[in-house]
Amino acid sequence: MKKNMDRVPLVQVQGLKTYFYKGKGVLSKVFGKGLRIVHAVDDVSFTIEAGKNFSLVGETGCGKSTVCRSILRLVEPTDGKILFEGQNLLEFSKREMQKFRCKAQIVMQDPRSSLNPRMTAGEIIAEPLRIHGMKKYEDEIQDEVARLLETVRLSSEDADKYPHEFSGGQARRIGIARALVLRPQFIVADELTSGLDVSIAAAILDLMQDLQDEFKLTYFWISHDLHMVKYVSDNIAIMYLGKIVEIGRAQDISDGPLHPYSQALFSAIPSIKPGHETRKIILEGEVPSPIHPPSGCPFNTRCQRKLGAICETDVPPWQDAGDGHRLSCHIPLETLRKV
Amino acid sequence: MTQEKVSLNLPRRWDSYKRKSQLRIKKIAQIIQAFRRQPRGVIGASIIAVIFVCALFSPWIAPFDPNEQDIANRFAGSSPQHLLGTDYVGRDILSRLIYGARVAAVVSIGSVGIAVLVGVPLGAVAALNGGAVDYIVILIFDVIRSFPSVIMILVLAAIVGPSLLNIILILAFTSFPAYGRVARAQTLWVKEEEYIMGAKSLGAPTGRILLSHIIPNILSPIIVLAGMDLAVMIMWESALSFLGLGVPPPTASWGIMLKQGYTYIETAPLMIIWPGIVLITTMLGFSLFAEALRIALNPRERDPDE
Amino acid sequence: MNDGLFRVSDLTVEYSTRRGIGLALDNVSLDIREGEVLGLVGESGCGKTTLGLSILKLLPRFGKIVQGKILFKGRNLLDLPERIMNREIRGREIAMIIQDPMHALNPVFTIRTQVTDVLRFHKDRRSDPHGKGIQLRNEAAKMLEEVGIADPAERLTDYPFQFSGGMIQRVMVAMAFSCNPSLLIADEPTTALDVTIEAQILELLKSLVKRNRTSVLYITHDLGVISEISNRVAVMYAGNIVEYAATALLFENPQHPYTEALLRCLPGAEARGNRLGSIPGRVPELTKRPKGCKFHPRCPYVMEICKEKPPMLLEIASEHSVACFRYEKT
Repeated sequence: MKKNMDRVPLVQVQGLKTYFYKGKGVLSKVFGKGLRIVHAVDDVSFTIEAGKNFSLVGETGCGKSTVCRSILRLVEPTDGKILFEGQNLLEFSKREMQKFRCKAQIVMQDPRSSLNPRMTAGEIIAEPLRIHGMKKYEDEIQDEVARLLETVRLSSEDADKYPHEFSGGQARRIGIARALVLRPQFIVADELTSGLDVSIAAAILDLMQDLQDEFKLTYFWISHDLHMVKYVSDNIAIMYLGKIVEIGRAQDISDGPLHPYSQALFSAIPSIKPGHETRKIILEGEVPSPIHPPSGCPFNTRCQRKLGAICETDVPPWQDAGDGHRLSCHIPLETLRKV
Repeated sequence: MTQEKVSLNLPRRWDSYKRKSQLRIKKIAQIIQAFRRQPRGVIGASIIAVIFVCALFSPWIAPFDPNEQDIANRFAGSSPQHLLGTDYVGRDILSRLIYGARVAAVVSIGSVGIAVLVGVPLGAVAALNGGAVDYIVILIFDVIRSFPSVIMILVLAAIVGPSLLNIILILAFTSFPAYGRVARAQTLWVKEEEYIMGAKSLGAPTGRILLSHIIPNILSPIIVLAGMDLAVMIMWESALSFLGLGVPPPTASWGIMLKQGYTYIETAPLMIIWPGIVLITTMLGFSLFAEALRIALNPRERDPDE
Repeated sequence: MNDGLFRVSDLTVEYSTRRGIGLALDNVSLDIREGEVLGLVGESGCGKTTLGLSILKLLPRFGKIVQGKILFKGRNLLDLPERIMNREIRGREIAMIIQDPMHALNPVFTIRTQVTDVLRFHKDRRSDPHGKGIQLRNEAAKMLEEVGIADPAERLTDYPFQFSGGMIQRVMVAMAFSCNPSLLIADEPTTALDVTIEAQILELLKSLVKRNRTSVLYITHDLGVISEISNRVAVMYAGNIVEYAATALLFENPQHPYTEALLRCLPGAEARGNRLGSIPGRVPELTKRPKGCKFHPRCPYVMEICKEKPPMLLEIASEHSVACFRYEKT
């Protein structure tokens, strides 16, 4: 049985859909715009292997945060399957969910608002232990808190401080410590380095790598920082308006993005090497609203390589570029490869 | 490992308890310290302390029996015997003020206490549940609030008759919707905060989320409201007693003293001045205290960086 | 004195906080030539935003300029009275774009009101009664169109919350350029924006700068953006400028230990799997800055002299200055 488990990928997401409903009330229906459905996540599928780094990339509003919350059931998905170690999360009982929570944790984006401002760092880190009754005695709990603080390179004296007394980087470390308490196998890192200074972000990335080596963790990175994503990931998926438009190995995608949106995204990153004025693809317009996503390909309203009417009417097919590299586009591969 | 679970291991448990309480005491000490650092905290707390000491220990502090009449000595001004003078039947004003603090304390704490204990949970539950529950609860709040409070209090007082308990209940009834509203608004905001989702991600059950995460973060405006309300309730008691609808005489209450002082304002103005001063000081004390408490409880405002 | 458009000399700014007094800026000197983009880069707490605010004399209450000169077109801004600063300098000769688009505009006024406000104040139309309102509105619409906002005439009646972050920044850019300033101070204008929107705004800025020959002080912590947009770069650390060079020179041949370390920290710099190795230690707090060179506690090349005296900015090559004792020849 155990051998079988080893070969099953840690996380498999199939056809995930998370819709939010706005305007369900009576008054909305009569006076307002009626029922509006926000297609935050619209049929997303991917696989994460144990011990690997998977990244989900995209811009604001593409749905990546909703994806990470959906797979942890912090937000209830509308449809689809989420398999963790082969079992469907959405069918778990309360008790099974509690056990799952010990195995899968999240480090949230804004360290300030993800930590209760009225609890000290020590209390925040000790809370998971108290919830799950893992350590009975107070001194054990305090020792564990001290140990975790050291693990994330903070001092044990910081246990008595409140979140607002910490800098952004330090607050994020507390979030990481809290995620580690229950010894999870799988950690979702939501925009871990955004808003941090370069040197602090580097320190945090090194810390994450050390932790991964020591505790054999699997990471799911959410980010819009393409440099970081290139550096950190084994596999990358690019999202736009609730759908994955391209997915594959990090190397393949960053060397040669094929989907027009990926190409625009990667070309827009300011490059460090001056003089290398890469031709930037500047997209027109703004991202459409997820309440009324465009028909056919979601990207057709801004695509710089739009084929024509087919992009507006038909959902683009999945094309296989080899080695797990897939993308959803009407334009044939050979044409896309010619930049 | 299983052995540890089964055996009682008293010394270790005791040790654990001790440490937990140590941490709690530390936290409370921090709050008290933050309190003491604020001038308004010290002043407010002192005023309230005086009031409560008077209320609790009136028989021992007051120089005279509040109802002891001394007609021969009525309308007397300040004297070493009667520090604040006597009223129209020769009762010592100072003693009556001291005993009046009892009524003030009981009415204010009673009514505000009941209002908070009823209103806050209602509001919080309404916000968490939404839907029909929310609708009904808001309806109740709004119906009560739509009556002008003056009229409602007077009418209710007239109906049920004057008595200490009645005043407390009536005042609580008219004020609990305000707390409910505030609690609901705060809960609506707090439940969207990321740390609530963080707690969920750790597997925290709803009860724990409510107690440890939501309640501490919604209390701030409620404390301010309660602080000011305490003073306002004392004013209400005075007003009702002034109109004869409050605590029945001969019980010494500040409101009654105001009324009686008003009648004799030209003969012995001291009869109304002293209770007036006491009332103003009390209201000030409560407001300052509530504000200081709010700041002391908020880790961010306790220690501003700039 | 008249060499160049803009020059800051020995500027020192003090902040008074509860924990003591600290120097947010310590003897900072730089200059900006006509038509050039000077990038000001550094991590949080280095003083770059303070520098931007000082130029327009918009420091917060607890900040004070204790020393230095800010020369703009021959005049020392620090000597000018408030009235003249408002009438002639702020928004007119020197404009500023700030970081957070979501809080840059007043939420209760329409875009039209806010844009025409700028025009009205600076183009002396206050004395105009009715009639000119339409003219102002058309000018505002034209400005929005120039910065690439679709349906400008209709968008004028919108409120800020109806605009996305990128669009608000475009409006800010439009307002900044409305009076054709000689110097634009851009304080992290694209930090809060998505990468593709950032690319759009950078393109917009580049074209407007080119067209109007505006000089820009571009403040950011993003080294990639700096490398794209600036002609010269000043690197700041804890209130000092530590390196000052033409952009290409800085990235190809960084001389200051801090700059070197910073470039190494970038994820793009290392291959996967190798540690980035950040800079040991922490940025010193405002009130607890070390004596001598402020970077010395974290510097791999520290020498005795670094702990005693602060180094001066020395020109070690054409268009390349460093403040480091390694290059000082006694």
